[in-house]
Amino acid sequence: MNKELNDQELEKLVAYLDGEVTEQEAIEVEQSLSTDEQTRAHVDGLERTWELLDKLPIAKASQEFTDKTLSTIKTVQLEALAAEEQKRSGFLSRKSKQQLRKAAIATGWTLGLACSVMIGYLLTNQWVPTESDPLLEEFSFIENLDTYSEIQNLEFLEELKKSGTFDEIAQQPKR
Amino acid sequence: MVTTEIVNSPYLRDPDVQLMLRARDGDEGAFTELVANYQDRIVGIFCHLLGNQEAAEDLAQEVFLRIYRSRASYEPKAKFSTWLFRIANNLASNSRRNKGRRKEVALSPQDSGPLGIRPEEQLLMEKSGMMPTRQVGLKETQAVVRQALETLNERQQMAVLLHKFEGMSYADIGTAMKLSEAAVKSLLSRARENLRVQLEKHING
Repeated sequence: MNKELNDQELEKLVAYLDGEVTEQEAIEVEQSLSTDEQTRAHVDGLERTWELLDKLPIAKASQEFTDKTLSTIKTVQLEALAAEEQKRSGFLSRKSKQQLRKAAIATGWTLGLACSVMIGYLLTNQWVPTESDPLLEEFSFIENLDTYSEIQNLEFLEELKKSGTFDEIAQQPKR
Repeated sequence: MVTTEIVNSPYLRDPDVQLMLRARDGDEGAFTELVANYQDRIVGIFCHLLGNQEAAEDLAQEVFLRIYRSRASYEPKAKFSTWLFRIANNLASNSRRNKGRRKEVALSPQDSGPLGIRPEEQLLMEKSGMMPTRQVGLKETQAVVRQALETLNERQQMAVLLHKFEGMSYADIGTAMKLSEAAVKSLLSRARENLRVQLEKHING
């Protein structure tokens, strides 16, 4: 009956079979194998069972695997490009909308300001009298001031009115 | 941008790393070459793990898709095969976790699926005059070995497959499976001992 190998001994034996031991460890294992028949039998069992794995059939990719894989990759790539394009165009239209909105707001504010200025100007112009307003209102009087100064009294004017002098003057064609 | 780390990478001598660097720079042909170089190996490993050709091919396709997607940021920090099998190991773990460790297909020794004898192989054996008893013997052996392999846990299975069929060193297996070399050593020794116990009665026959 085989003696039980501890984990470390087993690891060393398997690593020896796999060529994964140091030179010193290889010497130790070989010494052990040359003196211990049970260890030799154990290693033999490990080797032979390992070789049994060669009996497993090796599956290969189907003939269409390469084409199928590459076309899947191409599809994925195209989808990614389309998504990126959509994202970019979506971003641009969003950006355009934002710009349009900003422009509309700016135009609104400008028009509002212009209207306010205009209304303010008109109101101010209507309600606050200027220095020339009285002069314009009395223009006809100022124009005939010299004539009025020559008239001595109201009775004389009334006599002129009665005589029809003003009517004759009014009927004369204007030059 | 080429960093000093990449220029000094010891893995630049790996021809597959060179292919991957060309694929990173937009050479589609280089990527196709990588797929062609590794498809059988990846499908083979996944077939052993999942026991189903279709599922194995789907997962292998996912491996190449992941590699393609990450090509832009690829840096040669390991041998290409080690990097590829690391991705494969992650995907296999995720796949099995997602399926609640349910087997894709329960294969009986009589099945002639991807892990059994293929019809063309059977035909070839018949044409070559192989004795029916020997055919049965081979099929039975394959079934027994497969069952023994299935008794191993996921990590043991992957370590065994990478070591046996990919010839990977403990260090590379460690990199692929995110384990220390000591952990791989321990994992493989227990796996091989389990296989020995399972198959002991068949090796003397």
